[in-house]
Amino acid sequence: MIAYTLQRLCYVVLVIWVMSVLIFGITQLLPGNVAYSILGQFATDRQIAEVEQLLGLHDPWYQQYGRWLMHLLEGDFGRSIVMQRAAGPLILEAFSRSALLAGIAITLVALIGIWLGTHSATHRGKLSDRLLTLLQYFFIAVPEFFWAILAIILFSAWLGWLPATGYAPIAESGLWRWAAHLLLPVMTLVLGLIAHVSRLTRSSMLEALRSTYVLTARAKGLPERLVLRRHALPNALMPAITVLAVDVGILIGGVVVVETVFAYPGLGRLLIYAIEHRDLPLLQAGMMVVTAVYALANLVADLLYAWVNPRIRYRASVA
Amino acid sequence: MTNWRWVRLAVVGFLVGSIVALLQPCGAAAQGVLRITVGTSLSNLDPARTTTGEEYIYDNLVFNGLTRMRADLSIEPELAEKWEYTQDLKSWTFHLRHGVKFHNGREMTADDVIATFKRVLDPATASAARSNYDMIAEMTAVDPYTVRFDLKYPYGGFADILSDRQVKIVPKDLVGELPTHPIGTGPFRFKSYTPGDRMVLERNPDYWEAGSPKLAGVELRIIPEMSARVAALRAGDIDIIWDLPPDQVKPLSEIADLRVDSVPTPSWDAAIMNNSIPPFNDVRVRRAFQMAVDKRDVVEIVLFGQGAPTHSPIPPTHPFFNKEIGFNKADPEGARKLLAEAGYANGVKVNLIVPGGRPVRERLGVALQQLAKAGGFDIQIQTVPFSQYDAEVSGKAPIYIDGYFARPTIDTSVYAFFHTNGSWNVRLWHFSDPRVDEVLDKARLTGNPDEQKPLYLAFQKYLSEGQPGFIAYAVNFICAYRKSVQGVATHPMRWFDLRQASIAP
Amino acid sequence: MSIAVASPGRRLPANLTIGATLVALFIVLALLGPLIAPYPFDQFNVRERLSAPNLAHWLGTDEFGRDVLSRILAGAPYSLLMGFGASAISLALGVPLGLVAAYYRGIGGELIMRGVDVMISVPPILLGLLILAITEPSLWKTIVAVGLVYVPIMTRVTRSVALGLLGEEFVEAGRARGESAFYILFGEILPNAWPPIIVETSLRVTFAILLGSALSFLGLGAQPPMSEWGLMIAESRPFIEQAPWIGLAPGVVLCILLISVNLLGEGLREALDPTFSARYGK
Repeated sequence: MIAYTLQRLCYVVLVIWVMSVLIFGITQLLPGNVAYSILGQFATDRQIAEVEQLLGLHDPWYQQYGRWLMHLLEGDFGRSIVMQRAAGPLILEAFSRSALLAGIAITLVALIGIWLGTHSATHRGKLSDRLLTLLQYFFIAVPEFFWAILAIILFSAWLGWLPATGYAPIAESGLWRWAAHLLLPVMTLVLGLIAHVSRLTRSSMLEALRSTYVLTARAKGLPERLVLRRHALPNALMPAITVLAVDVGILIGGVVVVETVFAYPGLGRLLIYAIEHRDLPLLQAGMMVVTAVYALANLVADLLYAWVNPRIRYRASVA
Repeated sequence: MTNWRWVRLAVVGFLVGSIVALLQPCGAAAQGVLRITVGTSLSNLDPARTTTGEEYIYDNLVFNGLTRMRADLSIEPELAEKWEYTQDLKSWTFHLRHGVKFHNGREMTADDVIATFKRVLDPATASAARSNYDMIAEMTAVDPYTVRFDLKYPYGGFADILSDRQVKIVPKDLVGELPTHPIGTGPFRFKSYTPGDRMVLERNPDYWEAGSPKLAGVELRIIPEMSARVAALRAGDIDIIWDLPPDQVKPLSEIADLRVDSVPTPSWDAAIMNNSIPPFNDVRVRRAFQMAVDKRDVVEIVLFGQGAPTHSPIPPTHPFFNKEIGFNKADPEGARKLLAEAGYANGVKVNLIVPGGRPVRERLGVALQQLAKAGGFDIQIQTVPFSQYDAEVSGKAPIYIDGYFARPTIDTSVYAFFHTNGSWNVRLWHFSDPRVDEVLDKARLTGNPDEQKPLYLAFQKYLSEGQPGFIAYAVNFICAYRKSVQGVATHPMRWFDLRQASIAP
Repeated sequence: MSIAVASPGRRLPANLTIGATLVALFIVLALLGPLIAPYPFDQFNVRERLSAPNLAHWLGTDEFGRDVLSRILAGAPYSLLMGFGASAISLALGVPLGLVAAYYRGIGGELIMRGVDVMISVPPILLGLLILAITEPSLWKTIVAVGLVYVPIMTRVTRSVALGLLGEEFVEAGRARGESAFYILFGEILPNAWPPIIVETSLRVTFAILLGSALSFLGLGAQPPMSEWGLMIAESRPFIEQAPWIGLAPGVVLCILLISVNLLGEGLREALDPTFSARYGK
């Protein structure tokens, strides 16, 4: 297990490094000029040239890349050019807010999705299963941005139950209002993913229930719930875990849209702001953070999968 | 499944319980804090470098200028309690109030004033307002409370232009701190700013005007989504929506707790044409575009009637407006003929750039694209985020949509834009007409409105012949308020004067 | 909705027939759209702006007075192009890459697969945003960008399948006969590999439509006045309270399209290879 973990860790580092080159490369291609963003419309050409020189924008690309990478490794995330403050704290703060949203969403998705999927599988063919399947088909097809708009209209404008904007600092508004502000964005994120996870859990649960261990266990006379808990569920969970890891990517995408619609000051919105303003340091640092998180999430999923399924570990250590 | 059942029940119970608890009505401002919502983040906290409406709100709350503009566009003293000028309008002396303190406790003096203006005039600061003040030849601190400005040429409106956003007085020694910890003399102190979320301002207890401000603080909340802003206003999470789009006037007016206020302003939107590159370097092409589109239709389609067509930055409500020029009905055949004359017998194919994130102007783009079709213009719309305009669009693209806020005086509204040497001209249309230059120069030299009027009337006439661009309309400025907000007038300059504002319980 | 476990030759799964019919319907509507639409999609009618669905305008009008139904019909081709076009691109690029990676197990193959793993490490929407931020947005560029985003997954799946087939006898026989790598890959392996690949592609179509309309919603896809459905929903935002039909109509239609494509994909999976997910996994 240790060997496998180390192997995967090295691999994650490699991925992050390659991504850094890619991110740096693509952002260099962005048209528009950050010097204009800093100096504004009235800068003279000479001033633009000076600022570009100062920012090292005329140095050969490998020099710029090297410098950037060195700083990153030292923990210096650069300086947001447009907002004239250190990018690191900005990103970390925004990230913590996005992480909160995503964390709550994914926990709910995991709990509710797996429970729904299990229920569906064990009550296969009955009304509740059919109803759930129908709902699942529907939910998968609704784009996040559509949910978000509908949710605002229904719950905020018409019914007036919940606030329309996504963030109230917990210190000021207290626990309930803070949670109330999060409810709609979280709900929007959850609805799209739950269908996916519950469907997958259902089908892998169905397979597990047909598998030999379960048949044997039943034949041995074990009570149904023990059969489920000890034999069927763990096998059904494996694909569900992998899906959850892939879903982190979808979640991040959903988070970007949800943050825009609900005015939630998270990392997705910050990145869009950075792209629009060609704030390269902010953009590069932000994208690195997102990539690292995603790679780590995948790593965790891989490790979980390997832990639950010893065959993977064995194959890896032998290869 | 006993264990599972309890877990399930617990989870369901928790969810239901929370939802019930959360259904408590939300709203109710923290006592005395006025919450205003805007659509985009502020990028600049240094008044000299502010350029957007959202930033101008902040300028007016945290800082003061030498003079102040009232809602009726007249001028009154602010940091300067009185001023005199010489007969030839070339030398102006301002007497500053005593005892005005910056938010850090230090008293404001003439040196701060001079430092402020020096900064604005310095090309290195890259202030958008620099060219508005190039008439200043010299500034002298006669004593700690008196400043004298000597001008290069007579300028009747000098006191007026000192009320503008970029020349708010800043402390001379803390200029470097402005982007992160701005200090001014205004009724509200800067407390914090989270880009993408909100700016928090608190009451300045040592504000030099007694009895003000009444509010405990102001929050500028950034909510990009219009429906989220409206929902927040209705729910009571927000007290004022700044710059309400015209299409929201009707639905919000029908709600009991809210009040919608729409005032005409000189702010204008236009399709800016580059006069120095094809196809719009030919005045016939520009005129053809004008002929093809009826501006009154545009106002109806784009502004839902909340505005008025105009020929130039001089709005229809102004006494100098030239009523004789009139607005043409759409004449597509005439337009096509003119295009053919100019060598475009098959019409003109061009990309129109539209600012992403500015819905009213985006609508203007879509409307013009459709309306100009019959006149022979085959237009492709391209959306570019407005933050990229400086780098990629302004002064470069053949035609693009943009708009400008009201300026304190007619001269500042037109000179920089239409005079051959105007600083905004080279960033917009590259327009040049010696007749226009002549009247604009003459108009500056007199402080007498009776002498200015015929000059500006002529200016508008020359403009309608030369057509630097398609100036569509003067747009109303609209805000929506909860009825509990009192003491705030909707200011045509699009900022808020909150000194007497309060929130009724 | 019964989930019949079918083997080829037996009755086709319900999913497949329903899905295929609906998708075919959409394609027909997309092709006939301009002919059957009651009004031109960009025609203003200010007097009737923001009117609720009525006899003259079955789905109401938007803020310019344009007929919503006509705009939806005009926008159908874009969503279909997005889904199928982007998937075609990821197919065209991903499959050859996957085959090559499977065949050349050494450095070449490893490099390709590491590259693929890295690309999968970037959340699709961010990759899409970056690609589109580099150039002026337009529908074609969005289709290409979305296609590129899904190339890695196609590569991976193809490689998995090809690896499984490489050990088969007919491949050995081919090699013994001295056939070129190209022929073995495209002439022998591919024809046997296509069922799972087709299934994966059809699943991609749903994601491609979702990603494409999300990008349009964010302003990076189709440009006004095109009536792409994601863009229509974005443009409806200011009016969602006074005139919800402007956003609801394209939203509902988009959902129906997505459900149909999904059904088609699921149906294909069942008909062609019911054990697909178990064998080829992630």
